[in-house]
Amino acid sequence: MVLSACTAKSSGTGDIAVTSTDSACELSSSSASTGTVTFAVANNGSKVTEFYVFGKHNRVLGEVENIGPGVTGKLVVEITEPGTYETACKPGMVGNGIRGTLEVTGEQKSKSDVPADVEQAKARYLDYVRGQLDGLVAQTTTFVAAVKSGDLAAARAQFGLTRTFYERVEPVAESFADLDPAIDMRWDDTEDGKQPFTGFHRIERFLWPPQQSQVGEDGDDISQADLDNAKTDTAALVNVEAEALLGNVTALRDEVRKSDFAFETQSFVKGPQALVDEIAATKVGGEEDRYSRTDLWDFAANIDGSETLIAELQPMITAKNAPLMDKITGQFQAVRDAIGKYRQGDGYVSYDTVTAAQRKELSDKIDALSATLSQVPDLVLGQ
Amino acid sequence: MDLALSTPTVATQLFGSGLIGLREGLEAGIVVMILTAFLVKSDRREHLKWLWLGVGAAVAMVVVVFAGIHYGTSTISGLAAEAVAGVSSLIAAAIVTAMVLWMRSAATHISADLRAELSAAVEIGGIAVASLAFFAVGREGLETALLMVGYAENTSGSDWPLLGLLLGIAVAVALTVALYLGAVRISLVKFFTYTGALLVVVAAGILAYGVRALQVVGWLPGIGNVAFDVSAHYDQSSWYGTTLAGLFNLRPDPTVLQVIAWAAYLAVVLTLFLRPRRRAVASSTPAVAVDRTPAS
Ligand SMILES: [Cu+2]
Repeated sequence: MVLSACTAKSSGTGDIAVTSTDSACELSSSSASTGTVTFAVANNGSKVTEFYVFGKHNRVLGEVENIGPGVTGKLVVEITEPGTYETACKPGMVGNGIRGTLEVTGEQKSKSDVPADVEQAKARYLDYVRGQLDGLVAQTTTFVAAVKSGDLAAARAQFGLTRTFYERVEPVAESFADLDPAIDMRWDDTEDGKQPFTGFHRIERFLWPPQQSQVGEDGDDISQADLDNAKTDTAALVNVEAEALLGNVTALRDEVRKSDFAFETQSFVKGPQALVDEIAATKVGGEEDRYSRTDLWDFAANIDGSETLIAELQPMITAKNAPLMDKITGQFQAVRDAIGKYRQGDGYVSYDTVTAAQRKELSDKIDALSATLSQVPDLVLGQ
Repeated sequence: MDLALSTPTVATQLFGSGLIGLREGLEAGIVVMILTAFLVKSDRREHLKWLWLGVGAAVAMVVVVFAGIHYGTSTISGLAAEAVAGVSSLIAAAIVTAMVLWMRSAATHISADLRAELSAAVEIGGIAVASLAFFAVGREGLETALLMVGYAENTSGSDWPLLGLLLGIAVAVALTVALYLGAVRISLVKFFTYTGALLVVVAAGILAYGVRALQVVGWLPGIGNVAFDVSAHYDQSSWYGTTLAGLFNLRPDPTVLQVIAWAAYLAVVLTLFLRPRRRAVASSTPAVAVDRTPAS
C-alpha cells in the first residue's frame, strides 16, 4: 500500500496552502476532491514542524517532516475515497498536533497503486502512440497538400491510410475533449449544421460529394440537411478546414509528446475493449465513413490498436489466466480473418459492397472478442 | 492570524533549520565515530577503508536520490521514506548488536594485554564494517534526500534555512570529531567497556526509532498508543532535545511499543555485554596464563 512510493510531483495549481505556526495550523481550503491532493506547508513559527494527513483509525496517509522555520514543505497525498479526513501540524514535532479536518468529495477513485508492470506496459504503449502520431502528422501533411493542390484523386487515395494512424490510437486521442471532436466529428455531431463541421469527415464529404439517391434514414444514409449543407462546400472553404485539420493533429501529437502527458491507467487497461466496441457500436453499420465507404480501413486500424494494447498486457494476462489469453488470441485472429476477406489491393473494398448478412457476421465476431476483452482490466489490475 | 502572516526572523530561520542539521548529522555520525575509534584503538586501521566505503556509498545514495527528485518529474512520498528508514534502522541495530558482542570478546583479550591476539580474536569482516557504516549513515538516506529537496526548492524563497541547515551539520561534524578525540584518549580497557555500552544505548535508540517509523507507516500497530508525553517539560526542538534525539533518538512522547522495544533491548544486550566474564578483567593473573595452562 505504501509502495506507491514514486509519486508524480504536483503541478502547483490547486495546492492547499497550509500555514503552520507555533500555535496554529491554517489550511487555505478545508475541502478537496478525490485524487491527488497537494499541500504546500509553510512554517511561519519558530519551531521545526511536521504536517500529517490521517485517514480512518488515525492511519497516516501522508506526512512531511523537518520543515524548518521559514521553509515550505510539500506533501502529495492520494485520496481515493470521499469522506472526512484529519490533518495535523506538529510544531516542535511532538504530541497529537494541531488538528483540523478536510472534507473530500468526488467519486471514488480506483486505487492508484497500480502494479508496476502495468505502468511499464503503459509507458511502452505511449511510445507506440507517439510513433503513430508522428505518422499521422506526416501522412496528414501529404493528404492536406493533395487537397489544397486540387489533386482530389490523390487525396481520395490517401484518405483511408491517413485515418489509420488516428484510429489506431483512438483511446489516447479521445482523452482530449476538444481535439478529438475537431478532428473526427461526424455530421450527426453538428446538430444539423448548427455547429461547424470540421475535420476528416468534412473533407471526406468534399472528396466524395453525396448524391440525392443516398439520402435516407439508416445509420449510413445521408440526411437531407447534410446533403443541402454539402452543396455549399467550396474548394476554398475546404482548404481552410484541411489546414485546420493539420493544425489539430499536430497539436495532438505535441500534447502527447510532452513528458508530463498523463494517460489514465483505467483508459489504458480498458483500451483494448473500447477500441473493439467502437467498431461494434458505432462503425459496423457504416456510419463512420458514409461518403467514402472506407470504413474497413478504420475497422482494421481499431483492431491494430487493440492488438497492440493486448500485446503490451499479454505477460500479465498470461501469468494470471493463460487460457483467457489463448482465447483472446484466437478471437483476434477470427476478426482479422473476417476483415481480411475484404482486402483489395493495398486497401479494402468499398463498404457498401458488404451485405447486411456479412456485416452481421463481422459484428458477431467482434462482439465475442469484446466480451472476452471485458475481463482484462480487473485481471491486470488485480482488483 | 497575525502570526500566520509574519515570517520568522532570520535568527529563527537559521536556528530552526540548524537544529535539523545537527540532529541528522549526529544521527549519522555517532555510529561512524564509535566504529572509527574502535578500529583505530584496536590497531585495525586497514579496516577504515571499508568504513569509508560504506559511508561513501550511503552519501552517494543520498546524492543520487536527491538529484533524481530535484531534476526529475517524480518524488518519493514521506511514508515510503519512513518505511525505508524503519527497515534500515532495524538492520543497523542488528549489526550494531553483533558488533558490540565482538567488542566484548575483544575487551576480554585486551584485558590480558594480549594485543597480538586481537586480530585473531575479533575477526570483523570488512563487509560487516562497510554495511554497518552504510546502514548507519544511509538509514535515513531517503529522509535526508527529501529534506534537501525541500530546502533546495523552498518556495518561501529565503536562503537562511538552507544556510542554517548546513551550519547545523557543521556543528554535528565538529561535535562528532570532538567525541572521537575524547574517545581515543581514554585507556584501552575503559574504551572498550564504555564505547561498547554507549553503542548499546545508541542501538536501542535506533531500534526504537525504527519501530516508530514502521508504526507511522502502519506495518506495526499502535502509533496512537503513547506511553507518556513529557513534551510540556522537555522541548524536543530545543538544543538539548535535538542533541539527545541525534545521539540516542530520545523523544518525549514515545509509543508503548517503542518503550517496550527500547527497554527490552537495553536489558538483554546490556546484560549480555556487561555480564562477568569467565576471566575477570580486574584479575591480576594474566589471562594468558590461564589460557595456556593445560587442563590437568
Ligand atoms: Cu532523522
